[in-house]
Amino acid sequence: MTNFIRLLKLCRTHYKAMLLGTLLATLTVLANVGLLAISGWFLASMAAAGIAGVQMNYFTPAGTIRFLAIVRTASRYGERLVTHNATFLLLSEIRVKMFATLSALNNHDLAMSRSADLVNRLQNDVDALDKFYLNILLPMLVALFSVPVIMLFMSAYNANVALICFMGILCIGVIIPALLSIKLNKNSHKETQLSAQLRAELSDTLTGLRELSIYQARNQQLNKCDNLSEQYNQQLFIRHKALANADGLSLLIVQLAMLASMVTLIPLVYTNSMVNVELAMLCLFVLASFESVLQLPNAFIELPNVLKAAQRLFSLEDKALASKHNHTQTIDTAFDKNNITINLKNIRYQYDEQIAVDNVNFSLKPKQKVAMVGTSGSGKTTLVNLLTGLWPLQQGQILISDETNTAQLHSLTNNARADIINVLAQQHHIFDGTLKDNLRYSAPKATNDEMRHALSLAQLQPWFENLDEGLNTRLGTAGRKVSQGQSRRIAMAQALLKAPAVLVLDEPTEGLDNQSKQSVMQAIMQVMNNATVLTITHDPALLRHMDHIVWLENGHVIAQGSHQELSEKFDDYLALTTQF
Amino acid sequence: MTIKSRPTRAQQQSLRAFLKQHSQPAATWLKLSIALGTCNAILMIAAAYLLAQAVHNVMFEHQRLEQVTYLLWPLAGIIILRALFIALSERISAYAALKIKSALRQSLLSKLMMLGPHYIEKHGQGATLNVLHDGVEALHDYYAKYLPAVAYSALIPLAILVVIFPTDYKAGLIFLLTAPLIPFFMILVGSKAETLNQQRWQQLALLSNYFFDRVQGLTQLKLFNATRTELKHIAKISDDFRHATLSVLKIAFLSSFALEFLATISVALVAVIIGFRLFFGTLDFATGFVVLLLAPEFYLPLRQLGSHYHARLQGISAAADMVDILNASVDTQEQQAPLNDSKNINRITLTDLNFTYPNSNEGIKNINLTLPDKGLIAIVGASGSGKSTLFDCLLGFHPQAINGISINDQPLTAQNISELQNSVAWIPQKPTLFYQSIGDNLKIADPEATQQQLEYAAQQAGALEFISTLKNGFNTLIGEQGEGLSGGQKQRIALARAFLKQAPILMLDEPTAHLDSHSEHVIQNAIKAYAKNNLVLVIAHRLNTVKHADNIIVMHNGEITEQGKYSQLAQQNGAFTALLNSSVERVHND
Repeated sequence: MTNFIRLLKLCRTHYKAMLLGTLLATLTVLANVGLLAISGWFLASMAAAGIAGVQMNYFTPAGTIRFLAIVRTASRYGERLVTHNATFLLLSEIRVKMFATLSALNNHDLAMSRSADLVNRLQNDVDALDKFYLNILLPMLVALFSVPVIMLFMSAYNANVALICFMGILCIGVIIPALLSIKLNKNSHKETQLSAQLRAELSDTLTGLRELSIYQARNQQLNKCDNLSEQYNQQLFIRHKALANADGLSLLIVQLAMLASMVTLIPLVYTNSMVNVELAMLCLFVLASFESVLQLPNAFIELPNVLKAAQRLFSLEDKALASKHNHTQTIDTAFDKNNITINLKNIRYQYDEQIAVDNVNFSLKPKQKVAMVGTSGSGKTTLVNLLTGLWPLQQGQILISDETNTAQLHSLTNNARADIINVLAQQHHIFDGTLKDNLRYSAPKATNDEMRHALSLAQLQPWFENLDEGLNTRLGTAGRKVSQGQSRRIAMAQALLKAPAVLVLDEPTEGLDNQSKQSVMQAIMQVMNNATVLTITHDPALLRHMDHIVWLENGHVIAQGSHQELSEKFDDYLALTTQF
Repeated sequence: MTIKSRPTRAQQQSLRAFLKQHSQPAATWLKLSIALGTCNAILMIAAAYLLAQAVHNVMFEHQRLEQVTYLLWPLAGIIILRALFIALSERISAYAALKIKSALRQSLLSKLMMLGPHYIEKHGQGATLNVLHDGVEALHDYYAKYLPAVAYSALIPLAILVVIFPTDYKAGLIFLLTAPLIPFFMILVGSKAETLNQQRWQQLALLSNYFFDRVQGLTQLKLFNATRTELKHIAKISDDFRHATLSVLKIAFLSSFALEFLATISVALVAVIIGFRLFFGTLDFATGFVVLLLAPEFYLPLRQLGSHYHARLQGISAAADMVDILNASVDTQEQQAPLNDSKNINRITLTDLNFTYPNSNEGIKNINLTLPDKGLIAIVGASGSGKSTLFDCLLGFHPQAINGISINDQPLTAQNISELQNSVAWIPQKPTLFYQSIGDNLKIADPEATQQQLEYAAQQAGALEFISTLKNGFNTLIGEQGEGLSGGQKQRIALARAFLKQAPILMLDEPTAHLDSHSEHVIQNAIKAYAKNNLVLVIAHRLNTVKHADNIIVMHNGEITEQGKYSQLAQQNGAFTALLNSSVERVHND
């Protein structure tokens, strides 16, 4: 319930558009109900007048019928425009809010290590919330407004019929959907699970096709997939059966309500305690009145999903709020960029029970080039994460100092930190946008010439010259594909434009073919000219250019020195850094 | 995210034919569902007559409740029957859709298995997976909702016309004349609105993509200190999108506006005309009331068809990907030769083996090589030098290249590839661990293996130690892509699986990722031990591996340039030493 109210609060800013949409939607429903009821009355009256041979004023009802038909269609059109506008307003509101929340969270809470998972979940959740107004709030409000009006009119004719009708509406609009929603939700967990299982199984089959051939296990795997597909279908069938039953039941209730109203009214007509033409009218009135809750079942079915999505998003928001309270990033001193020393002192970091790094001490002197070497799980990536300043420190200190000032990295403001240190992840993200957009993220004020210069230093000149639209070439998911080597060189160009004092690189040459490796290396050399560099690498080519190597094993620094020294002294080090 | 262009009209037609053809496994069920739905409509018409007659009798014949019960009881019966029919019809159409989906998924998967890994790699694994999973699911509404709706849009209005004409042909004429207007206007406004509507969805997808793209790169934005500016961007783009979309929607909604307007006005028109005919006594009330009751029902199926438009489009675009897969031609006949017991392979000889990938000049050429029956053979070379291609040829994944290979001096043929494959165990760079227990993963190599054999194989691969520390041991379920296990552990399980096969030849693509030192040590020892009695071929990336190899094969540009032991090769100033220092030298030469 609290989540529902929080969702309503989100809507508050746009309540005018939403209310207008609701009113138009209510008007549509009422016009339609009125149209049918009056048609029934008109037909019956005309027939009665014809039989009795009396005159009657048929202009007003005939005109009303035409008028209502126009009102209904026009208000339906207006309603769709207004409600969609409101939906888009809400959509923008949710996205902006979500992005602000995510930016405020530190990366540990975000668990960026599994960002693909987070993004997928977030996408589904935000998509679910997008429809909150249109699919849930609107049908509820329409029912809330129109049902009393309908009941009021109906009870003016006959209270018993109104009561029957109300019970029917309650059944169809609330009781059946609520029961259905409970049933579907019980199943939806299993459904998602089976769907994920099937997906995983199919994915395994596709990736492991070669191995399945070698092990002669293809038919076996095919059968497994079939079985799972069948199981998933069975699970889905439970849902479809429930929906089909609910549809049948709804029809039964609407028609029976009409029949019951007839049975109630017929004796009244016979005893003349009711005008006979009203029978035809009420008959259609009852049938039409159910339109007021037409969209409600769907709203009830979707509500739990939306609430779950809202809960997940709100809990992120709460986390962000909480972390804002222990905000300590206050220091905004400008450091002398040419003279920055970084000291890592007694760093210790653990995930749950596992200690990732312990008692790590080393320093980066101005313009020094340092490499970190170690097998997977030795703690290199944890150190890089900590150096971003986006992960909280658990123990120890990372100190930034120049000749005059000293400060903790984690107490610097984002602004000050971004000026000093820049981290390039291995999977550099190329944003969906132009090349210029991408470069401007690191240096918003860079001119076109500066950008071109940076691109050429980053060895992208040949590639860039082939782009028809130059800096305005669209990159990323919806644009031009960029290879891994190119994306790393774009990262270098960004770094060159930003010109931070310290640059941290995570295996910049890993996974590249020789040619791109060479270009990336040259780009790194360019960057290294003017910055302190700390890089994770096992590439001997890069290691030779480093002043100092820090060798990590199991979270500890086990040796430091130049590449030459370490290679001569330790066979294990040589094995670690030789790969072809 | 990709935004697919819509298929053209002709393509749509052939895709619909494809979808129809694949409804065969459940065609009877679909027909039954449609028949039930139509019965429901016929009962609805009957109910309208009963109701109208009852209302007429009470209003104008002054009858009591008891006098109309003969009409009301059947009416109640019809209502119950209708509810049953509706529920059954929907249930059956859902069932039919499920059957069709199952069958389609099965034929897609077996076709993909025949097409082989190269086809999948060429078309992207993710895309293929989407076709198999979400794509097939997307067909549900097409079969369960859209197809029946198409049938109803023809059958139900027809049924109503058939009944109305004998009763009152003038009302029938009104229906008949207004009915074609609906599809006519739908097409007229629809073709324009449809493209606009399509644009709207594309724009929404673009906006959504923009937002999630920024979320994905959030860490980077934070590092660039660009989150605040980006927040403004998102707000602005969302707002731009809203304006753009609304102007599109104004027109897009016109189609449904026209449709509703026509249907509503037609009903109103029918009501007014009938009213006057009743007034002048040219029509009795019961008939007039029937027409009024049936008027909305007449237009309903056509309107509903419009609301299933999305299901139709979704089905058709999903079908486009499926047609590609099912129509792809298989290069070579799949050989399902009966499995012989693996014969002892004493010697594999490669003579002038050549293979180039279609549309590229990458591949291997002039490979002449004799492989012994046991020992550790390391293959090294820069990336792109042809190591993996050589492996694929030896594994029989390139049936085009078999004539360069002979086993025990017998040439390899399409028939005995599976015999060769049966004597090989293979571990790729990133082995696939299936979404099942560790034990079942091992048993892929030998379904009849006993627990003892599993343990022995695991022990050989140095995996037994960590498997026993798991709470459920061999029954531990492995997540997708071996989630929850370290790289070294995955590698050791794959090794155990290979050992379980007890194949005379083990082929291994050494992982390039730096495993933890313990795993690496264990794996290297296990391979050395296995090589004492079997042939082990390794694409080597590690210094330690090549140091222990009995023979090192150095590849360059698809050819073998050097062979020998480490001690020999390291002293020659040849291709091997060049490879060892390659990247270093390149940088020095700059």
